[in-house]
Amino acid sequence: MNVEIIFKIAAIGILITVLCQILKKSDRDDIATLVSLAGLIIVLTVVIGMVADLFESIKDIFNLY
Amino acid sequence: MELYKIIGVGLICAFVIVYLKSTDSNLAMPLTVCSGIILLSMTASYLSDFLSIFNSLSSNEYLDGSILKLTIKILAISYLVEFSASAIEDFGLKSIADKVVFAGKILILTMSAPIIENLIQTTVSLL
Repeated sequence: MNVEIIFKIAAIGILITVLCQILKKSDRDDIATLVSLAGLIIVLTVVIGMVADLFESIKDIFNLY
Repeated sequence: MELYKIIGVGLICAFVIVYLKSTDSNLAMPLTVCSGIILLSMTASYLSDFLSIFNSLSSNEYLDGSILKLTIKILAISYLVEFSASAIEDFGLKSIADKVVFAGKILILTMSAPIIENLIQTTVSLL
């Protein structure tokens, strides 16, 4: 759980924006929206996994229920 | 010290998020949540040390275990509510964040009822 996840997500973000720009310039707007959607889904799965880990660690720390 | 590391991570996350917002990609929001999680998990280790001390405190006979268990639960509720309310507020939904904070307060109030009752009993017995 350290900073590399931040840089991974930032890299995905930059890559997605560049790809969308290229696709928009070559007037393939539908593929551009799909690419940005795919990037968003990937990042969301990573973040949801991290939220689950956070809640798990909090449960362990406070040894709740 | 550990604090420099936390401050460094916070600043790095802030720079990256501002940059992602400038290229108006919709990945800035999950990134704010992710950096919040990283910073919270860094402080989690300190919290577990404190709690071990707290548990050893409950061994003597004056403080019975149930009250300390309740305070630990209240601490956990405040920890979670603070994280989620600030994340929601980052998304610009102030009203929903206030509702989460309000729900947390209500939960803490209901959980602290036995503590208040215990307090009243001890004071009455002293009189």
